[in-house]
Amino acid sequence: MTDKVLDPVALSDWYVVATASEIEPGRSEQTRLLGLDVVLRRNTEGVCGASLLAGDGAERPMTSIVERYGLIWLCLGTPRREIIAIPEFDESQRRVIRRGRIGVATSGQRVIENFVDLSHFSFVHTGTLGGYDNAEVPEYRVEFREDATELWATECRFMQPKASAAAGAAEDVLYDYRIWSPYISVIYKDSLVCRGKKDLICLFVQPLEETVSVVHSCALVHDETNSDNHILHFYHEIFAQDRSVLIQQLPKKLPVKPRRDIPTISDATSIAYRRWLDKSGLEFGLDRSLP
Amino acid sequence: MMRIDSVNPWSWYPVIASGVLGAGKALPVSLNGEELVVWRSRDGVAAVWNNRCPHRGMRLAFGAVADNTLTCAYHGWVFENDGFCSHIPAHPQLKPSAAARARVYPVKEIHGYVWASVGEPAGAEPAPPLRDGRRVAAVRTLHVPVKPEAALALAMARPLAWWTPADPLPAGWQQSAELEMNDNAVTLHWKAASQKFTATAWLPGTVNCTLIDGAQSTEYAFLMQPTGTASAAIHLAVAAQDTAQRKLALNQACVQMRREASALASTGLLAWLQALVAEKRAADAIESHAEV
Ligand code: FES
Ligand SMILES: [Fe+2]
Repeated sequence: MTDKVLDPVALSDWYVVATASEIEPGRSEQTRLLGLDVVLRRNTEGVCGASLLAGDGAERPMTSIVERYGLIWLCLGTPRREIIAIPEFDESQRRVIRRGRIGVATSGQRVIENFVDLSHFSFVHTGTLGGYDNAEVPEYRVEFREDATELWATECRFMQPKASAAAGAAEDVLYDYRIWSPYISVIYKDSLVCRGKKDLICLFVQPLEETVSVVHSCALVHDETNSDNHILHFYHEIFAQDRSVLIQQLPKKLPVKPRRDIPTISDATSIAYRRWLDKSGLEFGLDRSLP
Repeated sequence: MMRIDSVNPWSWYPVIASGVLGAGKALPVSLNGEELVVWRSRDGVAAVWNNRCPHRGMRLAFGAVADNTLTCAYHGWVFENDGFCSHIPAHPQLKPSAAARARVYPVKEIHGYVWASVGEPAGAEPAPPLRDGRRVAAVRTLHVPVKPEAALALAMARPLAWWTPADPLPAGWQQSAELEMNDNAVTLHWKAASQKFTATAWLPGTVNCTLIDGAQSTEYAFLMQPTGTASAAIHLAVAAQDTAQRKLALNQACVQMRREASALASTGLLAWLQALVAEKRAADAIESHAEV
């Protein structure tokens, strides 16, 4: 694991390591990131700091720690860019539902690949996000944006029996997927309450180890009727279903070389994501062996 | 060159008793460190595949059998008995590429078990569990957390009897056992006043045992399934015509043996058997020299 810590690509990126409100003034919390021990500590003035915990217990303070969107962001090396811009967090018309953290015993890349996958809806989320009778995945677009630093899948469309907690009848729902980093992705999905508006589902994976992840997630939704608990319950059920397949995929690290797996047309996002990861030089969480 | 070594990828090994694998069932099994799925179509045909969907690595043992196909739980790809994908629900009009195929292993269903090989099997079909060819009944499968070689030694050195769940022979009987070897078998003989025990290991993985105690006698076979580097499954089979009570009693004796497995392995049981083999080999070498 030690050599993976030197993975410069992994080290120069931003990760969510906690929800800001979880750490109260004067309190600290120990967690892990990229196979390293990290201590998060909020002083009595309310400022949150982070340090790396060495094997002998010594703490090395980290400078790249930021609180944004109600989350604590950490970069263990020299950040190569700004934190993802999600202006919708500052708009007032959506409710922010924080789904807390959920552990999954697989690589973060497996989690993201599943998050941006349409073709499992009918089999894994039968009755909510898909149905056996509507398993067909219409063609969508895959493109790189922001100087090829972001991967987008747009014009994704899927017939969903119950697309959200607020959804009434089955509808053909439009999706855009945005993959900002190997571990961070946002879904922009048609709101079924405010026509023409988008709900957001943000997934921030904290890779504890190469094959152990914690998923932090927020939903920004237009919903005036359901309680927080009701909305949370809807998402938890969906995520529990995803988790049940994620922990059964072999290998746990995501294979990135062609022909390790056999994709089809609807896997365009997955193919692009794997190629993009391969080219990025990232090692952490990836299986780079050839077929 | 003879070794007590039950891990031979070029051989048939039982992976499940036929009766346990009903039509429409899919179950995970392991062989020589490989994760496999064994499943039976509605038509009753058993197949053994790598437990990994070629699409995106989902364990196929979580799939569902419909008619004579196995459907992956993740994206619903449908696989035929020969391992080829015949239907991709995301693209119902598309003919799946021939590359979309599960990794299929040689399989034979015979003698009450489904047998598989993760390499090219050495023979056309597995030998009968009881070498005289009598029909057998599967009694129980034990999973033991020891090397497959140690499991083989355990099967030879811990007799089972339907009249007692404990070791039916006096403590330490193994020390005075004799060993005989020929090209593909190792036999342990032990004899006292009214007791006689013979265990023959047909390498790499079948053990036939005969125990006589006064007027009582029993006969059974242990079939080795090397699951990993430090784990094995041992299938106990008896002659099909044995009474139900005796099968039940042997089943219980087998459970008792399972409790003793780790302890027996750590007493150097395997080392002892291997030493016997080495000693025998050295003696044979001297004899053949003398002949020259
Ligand atoms: S992983 Fe099996 S169908 Fe996709
Ligand atoms: Fe999902």
